[in-house]
Amino acid sequence: MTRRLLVVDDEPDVRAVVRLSLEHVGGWQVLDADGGLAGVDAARCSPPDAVVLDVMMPGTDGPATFRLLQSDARTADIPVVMLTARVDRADREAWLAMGVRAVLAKPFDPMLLPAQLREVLGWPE
Amino acid sequence: VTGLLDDPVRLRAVDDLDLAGRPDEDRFDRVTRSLARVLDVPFGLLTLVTGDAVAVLSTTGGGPRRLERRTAFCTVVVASQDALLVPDTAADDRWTHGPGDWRAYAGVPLREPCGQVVGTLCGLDVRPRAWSATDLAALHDLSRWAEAELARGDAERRRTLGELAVARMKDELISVVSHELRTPLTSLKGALGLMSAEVVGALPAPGRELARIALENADRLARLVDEICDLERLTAGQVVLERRPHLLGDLVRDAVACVADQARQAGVEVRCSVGDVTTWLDGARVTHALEHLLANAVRASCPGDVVDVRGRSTADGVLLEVEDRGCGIDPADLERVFGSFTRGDSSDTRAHGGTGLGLALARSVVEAHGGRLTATSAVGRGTTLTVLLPQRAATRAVVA
Repeated sequence: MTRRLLVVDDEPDVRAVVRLSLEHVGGWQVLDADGGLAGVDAARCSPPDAVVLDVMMPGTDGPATFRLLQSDARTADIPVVMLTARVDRADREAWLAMGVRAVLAKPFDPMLLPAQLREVLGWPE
Repeated sequence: VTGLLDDPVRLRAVDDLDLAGRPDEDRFDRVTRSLARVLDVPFGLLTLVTGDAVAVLSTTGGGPRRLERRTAFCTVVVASQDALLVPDTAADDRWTHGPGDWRAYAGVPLREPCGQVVGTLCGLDVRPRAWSATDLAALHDLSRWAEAELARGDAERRRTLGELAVARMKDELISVVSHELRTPLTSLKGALGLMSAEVVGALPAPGRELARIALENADRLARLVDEICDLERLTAGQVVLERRPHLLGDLVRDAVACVADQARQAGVEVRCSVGDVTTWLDGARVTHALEHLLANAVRASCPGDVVDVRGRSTADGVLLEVEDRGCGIDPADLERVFGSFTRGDSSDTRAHGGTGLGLALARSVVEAHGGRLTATSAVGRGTTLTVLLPQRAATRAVVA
């Protein structure tokens, strides 16, 4: 069964690149959303196997989006991986403590991103 | 008149000087010493009258550094904003509760740069004293000096505050810029990475070459952004080291593995000889610093050259050396290579491929560990980069 991932990022170019990487290199299905609230809506309508979440977004940012996902029974169990240009160790640890599955750095290598996601999500090859 | 004493604007001006309670400062002592000599009194004092006390910033005769406002002559000087001459406190019924030993007082107000009276410059004697007009004129003259010193301290403090504000702005700027740079870099690297790998379609040979060049340079830009951020945070002391026990050999091996591709392409052999030493370090950062030293040594080498890495425990600490047999650096330029964006030979930056921050970063990491990074070199014979890390750290690791 093909996995479905939801990509939430306010930057259209980043969304496009992540989508292409996950589709063409990972072989997965990708949904995307251009902001936190849109992402939460998308996840509620059709829960994906995992969420790839940007951190710095206007309005509902990554951590706020994660909390919304956690607070809803329909989405609480979906693993979330943050993909961020913020590299501060303290932030990273705080997000992991909140229950985020992993924090991956931007810029990322599009040829390696699917393998990195597979590893942190514990998905077999 | 006491209204002026507790005027909020005046009290703020005193607080803003940020001088009350400071240890003795020579610059104020010079004024009070001169005053004591000129007036020929045992006590020359420079005071600030704060909201609740008279703080003695400098005195030639010792005594308390804090006087009660209620009983001090200086309070009257500040409240009246005028000079006060008291020839004999015993003959003046205003001073029945006055401080015991002092019989004569001559004081003038001191103003800060905005004109608020903040304190006094005064002479005191233990005997009655008929103050002359010359005494008063000398006091006024010396008060200008004292005011200049107060203003100088104020200017210095404002500059320090200004520098702090600038440092804060710089941090913010770097954090914003790094995010703003990383976002387009993410799209750029992502798009070029997928293109070069031809996962979305085959490229003609020249297109593949162009994609490769573009990707390499996007990678280089991304590295540069990372290194600028790292360097800023390290030099600003914002980095908390995550020290753990590590075998020195493991760290060196990791660093060598990181430059293996670069060394192979350059036709350079990296040889390791590292003793069995346990260290107490931030492994990731030290490995990264070593990687910079090695990359630098490989870049300085010619095909067929050998780079030696040696590590051992010495009486002074853990010693690590990275030796290349490249073209060397003029001793006059040695310190310069640890600066940002400098290279031993600035003529061929293109061939080097480094970001120009590697050695500066490595030095910051080593110094954050309390260690030192130095270089010795001979033109034509090569360069040795030497890291010395405190041994105490290693001993603690064993105890822990």
